[in-house]
Amino acid sequence: MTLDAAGLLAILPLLIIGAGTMAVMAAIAMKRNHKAAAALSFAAIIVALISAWMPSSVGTRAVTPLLTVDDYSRFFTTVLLVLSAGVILVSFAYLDTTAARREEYYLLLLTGTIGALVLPSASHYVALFLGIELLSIPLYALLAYLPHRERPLEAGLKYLVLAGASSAFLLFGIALLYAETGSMAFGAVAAGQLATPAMVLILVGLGFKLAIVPFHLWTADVYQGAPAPVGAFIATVSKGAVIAVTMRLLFESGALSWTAVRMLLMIMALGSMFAGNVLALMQTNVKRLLAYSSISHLGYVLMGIQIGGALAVRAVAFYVMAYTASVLLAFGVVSALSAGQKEPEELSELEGLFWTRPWMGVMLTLSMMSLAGVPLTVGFMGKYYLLAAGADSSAWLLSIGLVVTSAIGAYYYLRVVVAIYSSPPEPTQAYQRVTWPASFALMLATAVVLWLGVYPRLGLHRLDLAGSLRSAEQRSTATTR
Amino acid sequence: MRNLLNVVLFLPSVGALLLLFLPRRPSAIRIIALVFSLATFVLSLGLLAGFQASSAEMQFITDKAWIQSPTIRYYIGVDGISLFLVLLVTFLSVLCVLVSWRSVQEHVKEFFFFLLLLETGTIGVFLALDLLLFYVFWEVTLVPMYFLIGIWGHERRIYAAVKFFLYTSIGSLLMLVGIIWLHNVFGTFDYLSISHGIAIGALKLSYPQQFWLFLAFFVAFAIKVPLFPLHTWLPDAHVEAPTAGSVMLAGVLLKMGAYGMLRFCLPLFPDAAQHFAPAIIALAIFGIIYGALVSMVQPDLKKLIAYSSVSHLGFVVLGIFCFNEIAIAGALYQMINHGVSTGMLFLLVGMIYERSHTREISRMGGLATPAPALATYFLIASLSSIGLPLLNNFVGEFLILVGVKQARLLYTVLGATAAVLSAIYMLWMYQRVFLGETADHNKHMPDLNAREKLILFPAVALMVIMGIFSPYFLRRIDASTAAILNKGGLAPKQHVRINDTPHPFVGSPGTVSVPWVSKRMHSAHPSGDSERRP
Repeated sequence: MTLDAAGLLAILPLLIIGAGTMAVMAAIAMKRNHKAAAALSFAAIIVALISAWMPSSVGTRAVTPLLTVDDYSRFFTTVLLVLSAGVILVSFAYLDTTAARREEYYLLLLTGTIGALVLPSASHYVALFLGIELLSIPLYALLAYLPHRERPLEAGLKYLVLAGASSAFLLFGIALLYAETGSMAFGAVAAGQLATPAMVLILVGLGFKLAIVPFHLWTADVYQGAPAPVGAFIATVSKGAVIAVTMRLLFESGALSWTAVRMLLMIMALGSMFAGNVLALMQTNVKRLLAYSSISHLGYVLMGIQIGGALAVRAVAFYVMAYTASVLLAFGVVSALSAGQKEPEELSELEGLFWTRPWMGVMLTLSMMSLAGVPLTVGFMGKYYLLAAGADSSAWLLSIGLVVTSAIGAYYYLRVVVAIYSSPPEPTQAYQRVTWPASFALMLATAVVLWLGVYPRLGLHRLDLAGSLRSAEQRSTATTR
Repeated sequence: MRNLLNVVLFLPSVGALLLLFLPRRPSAIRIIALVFSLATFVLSLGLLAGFQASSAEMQFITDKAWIQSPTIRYYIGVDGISLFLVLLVTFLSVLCVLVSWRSVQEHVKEFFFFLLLLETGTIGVFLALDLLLFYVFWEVTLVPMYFLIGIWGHERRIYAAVKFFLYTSIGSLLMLVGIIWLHNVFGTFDYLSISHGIAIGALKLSYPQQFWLFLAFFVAFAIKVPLFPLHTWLPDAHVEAPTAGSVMLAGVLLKMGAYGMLRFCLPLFPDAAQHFAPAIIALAIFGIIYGALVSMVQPDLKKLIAYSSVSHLGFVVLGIFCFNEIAIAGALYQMINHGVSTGMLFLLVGMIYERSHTREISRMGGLATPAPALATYFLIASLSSIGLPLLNNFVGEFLILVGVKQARLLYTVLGATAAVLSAIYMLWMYQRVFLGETADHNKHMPDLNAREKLILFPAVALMVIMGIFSPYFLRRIDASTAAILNKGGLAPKQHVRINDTPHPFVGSPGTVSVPWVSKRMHSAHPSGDSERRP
């Protein structure tokens, strides 16, 4: 399959971000200017966002054997681009006060975004691997971007070792699968003895990236060590992209109907729900707390994937949007309040936030309520769709797991809320003044959390998300025959 | 007129949003809050005026699509069961705004914001006819209540607020699963069409389905009521909450549980309800006696009243699960009574606390000497709570006992002990607090001021009105409670039983609204229906 003009047009967002990266690099080479670098990166993302929804971009199109552009990939591309834009806005003020060299940060961020954008449209193991590496490698540097601090270095190193190990599992799995089928396409039908171990190895690799039980041990340290905006990037863009590719991989390869894979997914989902929520109970550091909560939320996402079916695909897509918007809000507030070297990440440092910074307090409260799944926030609608999908296919064990762990989870989200509304300590915390780019991003996230919670008419039903996945599966079975 | 119900529902939250944009001037904020709660109350009286007493149908219906795929609708309406509960909310909200006038000095804006939000949430619970909408309102009440306890409460407020939130949210998550399951079976969240379908036999739930669904709903409601083993959050929440929070909690939030049992558990899962009834009745009776006994030994005035709520609400649950029209009408009446009487008791305790800064009964005594008006109001509220004839609680308790007797005499006998026990703990408490030697530090306790009298007088007036003119209320309740039983197919069996019992006080079925004196005369007539629908 050759790359024609229509194909190039379909992957325009990728190309634009690539060009944007080059432009930022050139700009930095000419003159270091933080504002210019940030503005250029932001503009690139906005242009890419527009290009994803050009009138020509409808239907399903395979661009080389590696990528497939369809409704599914367009949806996730949009979500990921919006999240990256949010992260850039939040990062700007944060870097202004903390880092000495700020411009390269955007280079790394954009490169990571390219990797993230490859993943939802990947339909080939090579694209999967390229995307994941392109996403991970900039993250090592981003995590350790503030080299004079101890924690970020530790976090970067930990992430490097673990990502390396997980890539090894992933590659081994891919190699086994290739040995079995002789094809690297997701849709290649594997029926031999090696198929199941291969898929399990691939899931282990992806599981490391998603930090689901039992591959979750790195996540708390990395979240805690990461500068808050980078934490936001890991929690939203990186997780969202890997979920997108995991779901497509499992659907298109047909592995979702294998008993061993289903069992594994179920155990990982239940394990993540329980471990994440239980481990988060005693945390006093908001970033660690969000790390453990992310484990549990990925357990919910995995539940949606395990259930399978059109309703579940839509539920997962919605949940990814809900979770990432809420968690971006939380990290956004923490980084917006960071003053110089200090991030207000301990619960004691957030005490009385509402009384000193009412809007920040309200936003963080909303984010916690949404993560806990209180009605009229997007988090509730996300859980509701998952439960509806679960009930639809009688996945009662997973549904009960979701309900029970949500109830456990409410406790630690409430702890944050309690801190926000307790009386402020004397003297009051010195928070950074919130700049307008950050407050714009935060308001946008707040609007998403509230609007989709009260009135979740997104036109999501007009996008044929599940259809994209199924048609690819049918197509591949048709060609192998 | 068409949109009256929507206005009543959302006016408080409009007021709450308005408060957010006002400058931090406490006096202006208090006045705005009062204006909005008062306007809501006046408009809700309009509901009463426009309400068709003889109809069991939902009235003032609004039905709009809200969320598509799966369809969730904004579907609200009011019937005889919810009408007075809505009025109770709007009435108590006005009193809550007034009682917080001086006692809330910190973060005034946020306090009234949450109070008004709570009002919308609780009204919504009683009006929602879409199951998911009901769940949304149910959960939404949690958040403002959590903040009211957690920010403006007493010493252990955070513990109490978190406990309250966790208990109720665990229950309600189970209910959410139940609601989604129901949707899965019937393909709709529409309460009326589901309950109608079940009533005419078009929709059917197998027994195991009913069993689990009933449990999922019932546990959520039982936690809220609270039924005996699930009540432990209540004393903490009550004691730590600010006065307005306690009043709303006791007056309204507990009723949400009993309302849920009546509205959902009985008509939707009649077989399971009948199956579980003996166990629930046993728990309810145990709760009645346990609550009363524990109240008796409380050293803390607020805790005493909190435990008395466990006892009183046990009575309500007992009435509901005897599947008898008279008992259910009585239970509903008792829900409103308890809201008024216990609400007023909490108001009074709040007033005492403002003066003496203690809730310890042992630190009080002889308060009647410096504060005779306070003592008088307290006495009336206590007597109402005990169930003195001519006051409101008497009517409710009497109807429950009469109705329960149709099911089993033993239940009545055990339930009636509550009346004796409540007299003991309330009067003994009254004696220790208001009579005897006045302690030195209480010698100069100021009596009620004009604002406080203004708060208490309407409550007392309502107690007397509800005690004497009960037919006015019962006539509006009657048709809907009968319909609830008929829907579940729970009624006919009970009717036979009633007719079997030749008792002068109990006439033909479905005539709860006709007071017993006249009923004795009416019982000569063969048909009971002609009386109910003239």
